[in-house]
Amino acid sequence: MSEKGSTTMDFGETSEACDSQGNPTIKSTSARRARSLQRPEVSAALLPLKVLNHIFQYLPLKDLLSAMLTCHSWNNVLAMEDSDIWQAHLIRNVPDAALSDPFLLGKLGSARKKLRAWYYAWNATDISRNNYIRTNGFTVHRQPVAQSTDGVRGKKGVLHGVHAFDITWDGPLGTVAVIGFATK
Amino acid sequence: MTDAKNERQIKISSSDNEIILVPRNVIRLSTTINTLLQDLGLDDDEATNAEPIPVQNVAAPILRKVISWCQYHYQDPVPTDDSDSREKRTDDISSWDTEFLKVDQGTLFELILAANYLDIKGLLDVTCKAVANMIKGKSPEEIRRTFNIKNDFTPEEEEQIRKENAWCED
Repeated sequence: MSEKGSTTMDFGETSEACDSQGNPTIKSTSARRARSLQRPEVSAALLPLKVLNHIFQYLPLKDLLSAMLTCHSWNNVLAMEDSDIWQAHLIRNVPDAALSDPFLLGKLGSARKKLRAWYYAWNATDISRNNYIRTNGFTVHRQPVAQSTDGVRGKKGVLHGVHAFDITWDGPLGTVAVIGFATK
Repeated sequence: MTDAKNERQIKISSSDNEIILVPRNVIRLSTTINTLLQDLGLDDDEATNAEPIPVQNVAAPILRKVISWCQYHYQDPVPTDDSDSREKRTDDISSWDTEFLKVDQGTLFELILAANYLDIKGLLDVTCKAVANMIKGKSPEEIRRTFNIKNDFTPEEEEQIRKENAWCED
C-alpha cells in the first residue's frame, strides 16, 4: 500500500489518498486486482469532457457552483454556457411562457444567462397586493386601484455591479406611473 | 436473431492482450461493439468471427468487471428516454449496482472511462451517478479532498467565479 501511495500521488494529503483506495487488504483478492492497482490513477480533474458533463448533469445548481470552484478543468466544463447541463436547468426552472416569448430573453445569448435572469427576476411571494406576476415570471401586472402604491422585489438582492433594467410600459397607464428603486 | 446466434460467444481482447469470451447477447449492451459487429457483418457468419475484437483502451481486470455488469443487466428493459423536465435522480441506484460499485476510486473512474469508450449507457449512467453522489452537498474544498484534486485557482479567480455565480446558491 505504501508503494502505491508514492507512485500515484504527487500532492495533497497522502492519508486521504490511501484512505480512498488502499484500506481493503489486497492480498486476499485475485491477481487482477493487484495488477489494476499498478496502473496510473485516473484523476477526477482530468476525466474527458463528455464524462464530466455526464456527471454534472446530476447535480443541482448549488453543487454546480461548488464544482466550478473545485479546479480549472471542472470550471471550464461549466463555463460552456449552452451545454446540456445549463439547458436542462433552464427548461426545468424557467416557465415556458418566458422561453417561448421571442422578445423577453431572446437577447440573452446562452442558456446560462437566461437562467441567471430568472434567478434575479421578480419574487412572486414578495409583492404588494395590487400587483401580480404573469406566468412568464418576468412581467409585473398592476390592477388599476386608485390611490394605491405598489411594489415588487426581485428574488435576489445585489450589492455591487452595474444593473440594467429594461422597462416597458404596457398601457393604459392611468394618471401616474412611476418607477423607483431602493436598496434593502 | 435465432437462439443459436444469441448464444454465440464473441471474442474480445483487452488492452493487455487477454482474450475474453462474451455471449453475443450480453455484449449487445456495448453500442461500440454492437455496431462494430453489425457493420463488419460479423453477425452473419460464425466462421468469420475467429479474430478477437480489440478493445484497446480497457485492461482485462476492468473489462471483466464491465462484462459482469452487462451479464447482470443485459435483459433489462430498454429505458425510455429520460425527459429533461424533471430533476435527474441519483438515489435510484439498485442494490446490485451499489454492491458492484463498492470499489476504490481509481477503479470507479476506469469503469467510467470504459463505459464511455464502449458506449454502455446504463453503466455510464450509474457510475456517473455514483460520482455525482460523492460531489453532492460538499464544499469545493471537501470535493478536492475527496478526489485528491489540487486547487489551481488564485484567490482572485475564485472570488470572480463566486461573484459571477452567486445566483447558483439557493
